[in-house]
Amino acid sequence: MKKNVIFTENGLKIGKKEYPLYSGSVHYWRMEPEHWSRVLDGVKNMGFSIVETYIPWRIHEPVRGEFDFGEKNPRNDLEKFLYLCEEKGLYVIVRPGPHINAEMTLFGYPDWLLEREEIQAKSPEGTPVVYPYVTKQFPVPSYASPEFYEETRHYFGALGPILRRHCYPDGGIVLIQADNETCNFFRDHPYVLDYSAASAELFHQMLEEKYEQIQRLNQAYGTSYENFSQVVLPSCYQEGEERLEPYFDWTEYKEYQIRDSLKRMLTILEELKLPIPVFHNCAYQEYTPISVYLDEQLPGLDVAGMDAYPDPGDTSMLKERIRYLSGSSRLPFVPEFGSGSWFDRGLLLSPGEELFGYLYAFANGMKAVNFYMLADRNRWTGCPLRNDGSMRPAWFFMFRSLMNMLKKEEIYRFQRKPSILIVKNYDMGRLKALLSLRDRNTFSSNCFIKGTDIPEKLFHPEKMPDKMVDTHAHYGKENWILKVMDALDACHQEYDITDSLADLSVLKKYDLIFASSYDWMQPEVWKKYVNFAALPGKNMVVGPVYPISDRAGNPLKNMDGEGRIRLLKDPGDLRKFCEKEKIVLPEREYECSDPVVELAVHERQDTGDQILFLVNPSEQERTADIFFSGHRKIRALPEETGMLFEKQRCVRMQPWEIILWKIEQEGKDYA
Amino acid sequence: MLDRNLITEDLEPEIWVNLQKVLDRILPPQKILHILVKETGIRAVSDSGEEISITPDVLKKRENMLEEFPWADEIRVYSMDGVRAYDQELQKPEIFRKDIDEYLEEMYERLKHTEGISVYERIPAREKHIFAILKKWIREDGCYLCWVTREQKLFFNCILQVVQGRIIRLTTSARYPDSMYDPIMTEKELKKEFGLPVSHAIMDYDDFFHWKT
Repeated sequence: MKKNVIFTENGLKIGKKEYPLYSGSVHYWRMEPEHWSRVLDGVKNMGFSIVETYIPWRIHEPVRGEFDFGEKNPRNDLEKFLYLCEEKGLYVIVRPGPHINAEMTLFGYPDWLLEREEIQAKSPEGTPVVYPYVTKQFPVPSYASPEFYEETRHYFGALGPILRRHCYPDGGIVLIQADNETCNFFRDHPYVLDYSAASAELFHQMLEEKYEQIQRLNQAYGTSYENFSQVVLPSCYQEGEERLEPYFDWTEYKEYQIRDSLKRMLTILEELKLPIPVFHNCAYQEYTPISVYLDEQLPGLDVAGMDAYPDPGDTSMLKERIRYLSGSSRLPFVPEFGSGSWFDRGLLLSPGEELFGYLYAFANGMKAVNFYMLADRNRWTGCPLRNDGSMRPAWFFMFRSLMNMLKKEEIYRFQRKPSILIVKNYDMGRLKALLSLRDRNTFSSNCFIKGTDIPEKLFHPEKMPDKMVDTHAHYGKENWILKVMDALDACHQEYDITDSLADLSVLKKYDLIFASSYDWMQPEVWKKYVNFAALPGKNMVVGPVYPISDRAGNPLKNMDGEGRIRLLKDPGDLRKFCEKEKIVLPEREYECSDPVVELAVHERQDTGDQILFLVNPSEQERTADIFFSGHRKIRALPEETGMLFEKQRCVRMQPWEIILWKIEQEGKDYA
Repeated sequence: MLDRNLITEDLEPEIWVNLQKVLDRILPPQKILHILVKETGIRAVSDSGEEISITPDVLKKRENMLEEFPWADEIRVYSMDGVRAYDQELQKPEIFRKDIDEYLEEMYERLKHTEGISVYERIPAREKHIFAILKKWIREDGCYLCWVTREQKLFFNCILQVVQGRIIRLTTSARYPDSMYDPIMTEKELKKEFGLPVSHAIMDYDDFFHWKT
C-alpha cells in the first residue's frame, strides 16, 4: 500500500516535508470532552505539533460485540477527538494495542476477553499466569491463542473505518503502533509461560522449521522422538545437564513467539489498509526475548523503538539503551519517554531531573521521542498539564523552552556518527536465562503491591555446564562489555551498541568493533566477524577469549579469522592494547580536560554545523576546558550570541547540567 | 476492598512526591533470607541477591535460625516442590479472582501453610502490605483523610473514598486548590462534595512510624 508518510533518518516525512518526530501523549477517554480543546491548546503552546493517544479496547468494546465510540459515553468519542486535533492542526499518532497497559485495569483488555480460558497463557503447571497489577491481578493472554487474534481482528474491524477516515492526508493520523511492549507482560524469563496447547503447537512448528527432520532434532537432543509434536516443552533447567540445545531452543522459541505475535498484529493492521507507517515499542529488554534489530526485519514494521523511564540521574541505563537503539534501529526512537509518573511508582521527577534525562538521551543519539504523558489522567501525575488543561508552570515552561530550542536549531537534522560499535553476545544472554531451576513470577508490582517474591538467584544451578558463562548477575549484561564501555568512556570515545544478531550490513557502518566472545560461539556469528575483519580499513576485536566450539560443543571448523580478529583479554588495558595492535582509536575533534564531563559531537551533513553536548553527570560543579585546533565560532544554546574562540573554551557546569554549544561551519578554521 | 476501577486524580507532585518516604516509614523494608533445600544441596540468598554461606546444620535447629542471622527480619526455607505447589495455588482462578488486597493476604497466608515452605519471622504480627494497615483504619463507608506534616508543613496527604466497603477513589487535598494546605478546610470540602462522613488521621512524619490505625 502506498504510504503518504514515511520514516526518515531524521524523523517523519509527511507529504513532501520532513518533520522532527517529537510528540506527547494525551488520553481522550480519561478527560471530560469539554477539556479536550484546552489540553490540546496547551500541547500546541508547548511547541508540539504531534499528539499521541492509545485507543483502549476495554473502553470501546466493554461488552463483546457492543461497541462504544462515543454513542454511550461522550468521553469515548474518538472521532470527535481526532476532528478536534485536525482542527487545531495537530498530527496524531495512534496506539490501538490491543495491549496498552496505560495503568488501566487488565492493561486495557476487556474483562470478557481475559476470562476466556483458551485466551490465557499457561504456566508449566497448567494454571493461568497472573500479573498482580495494583487495582486487579489478572491472567495474562497467550500470544499463541488463535481466539485472541480472532477477537482482536473483530475489534480492529470496528475501529478501522474511523482510523481510515482520519489518516493523512484526509486527516491527521500519521503513525500507528502495532501492539505495545509485546513481551509477556513483564514475565520475560523463559520458564514462566507459555505452556498452553496453542503455544506448544507453535513451539513444535518452530522446531520443525529449524530441524526439518525429527532425526536431526534427536541427534541434537539425544532423544528418540518420532515426530515434532512429541517434543516436551522444557519447564526448567535440569541441574547437571550438559546437553543444552533443548533449552536454547526453548529460549529462542520465546523470541519466536513474540515475533510471531507481532507478525499477526501487523497482518491485522495491514488488513485495515491504512496509508501510514507502523512502529512498535519494546519495553526495556536489550536481550532475549527481545531484539529491536529482528523486529525491524518483520515485513510491515518500519521502526522498533524502546521506552525509557529513567530514575533521576540514571545515565547508565539511558546511555546503554539509546546507544543500543542507535546501533540497532533504523531510527533511534523512544515511543514512551517518561513525563510524570504512574501513581504507584513511588517516585516523581522534578522538571530539572526530567530535562536532564531528555537532553542526555539526545546527546547519546535519540532522534525521535514521544513524551508520555503531557496531561495528567487517571493513575498518572506530574505532567506539564493537569487533567483539565490547566498549566503546571515549572513543567510547562521546561517543555516549552526545550521544544523551542529543538525546533529553532533543527536539532533533528544533526547526526551523531561514532565509528566504534560494541556488539553484545546475544547467545550469552540466552545461556544465562536458560540456566534456571525454576523461573518464578514476581508477585509484586510497584510500590503498593509487595508480594512474596523470591530472588531469582536462589534458583541458579549449583554446577554450571562445562561452558564459559559470564558472571554478571543480570543476563542482559556482560562484564567484558561493561569494561569496554568504561574504557572507551574514560578516553572520551563515542560508540554505538548492538548485539550479535545484527547483520553484517549493520557492522559495516563502523570501523572498529568490540564484540564479546566466549569459548563457544555459533559459527554464523564468527563467520560474520571474520567477514567484517577482512574488509579494508576495519578492525575487529573480541574478548575475553577466542571461541573454540559452537554452543553444542562441536569444534569451530573455520578459525582462519583469528589472524585478523584481535583478542582483548582485559579491556582495562585498552589504550595499551590498541598501541600494541596498531589500532588507531578515532581522533577526536574536541578533547575535554575533565574525565567526568561527557562530550558528544553531532554534525549536520548539509551545512557542516555541529552541536556539542557537554554533560556533567555528577553532583559536583565542574569546570572543564574543551580543546580543539584552530578557531571555532561557538554559541551556547539557546540564548548566547556566537563568539570566536581559539584552541579552547572553558565551561563551568552545575551538577547534573547539560550544555549545548552550536559550532557553525562558517567560523571554523583548522590551524 | 480496593475497587478494580479505582480512580486516582489530583495527585499534585508537591504532595505525591513523598509517597515512598511515607510508605517506608509505615512499612519499613524488611530483610529476608531465602533458603532453598534441594537434593543437590542448600542455597541461600538475601533479598538483594547476595549469596549467603550456610551449612546443613543450621537447618537442624530451625527454631534458632533467627539468632544465627541477626540481620534477617524473616527467614524462609523452601523445597522445590513447595515453591511449585505455592505458585500453582496462587494462580488458580478461584484465588486470582479475589480483590488485590485479599490476593495479597492469600499470598502471605499460603506461604505459611504450604507444605515444603517454612517461614520464621522476628515479629510475626507485622503488617506485610499497606492494605493490612488500611483495613484496620477503614471501618465504614466515608472519606478517609491521611495528613502528614514535617516541620509543621504539609509533607504528604491522601484521601480515600470508600463506598460499599470498597475504595473507589484516591485523591489528595490538591482537589481543592484553595484548601490544599489546610486539613480542616479540606475535610469541609470533602463533606460538601461527597456527602459522606470524613475520618482523619493528622500527624507529624516523625510520629507516623507509630501510626497503624
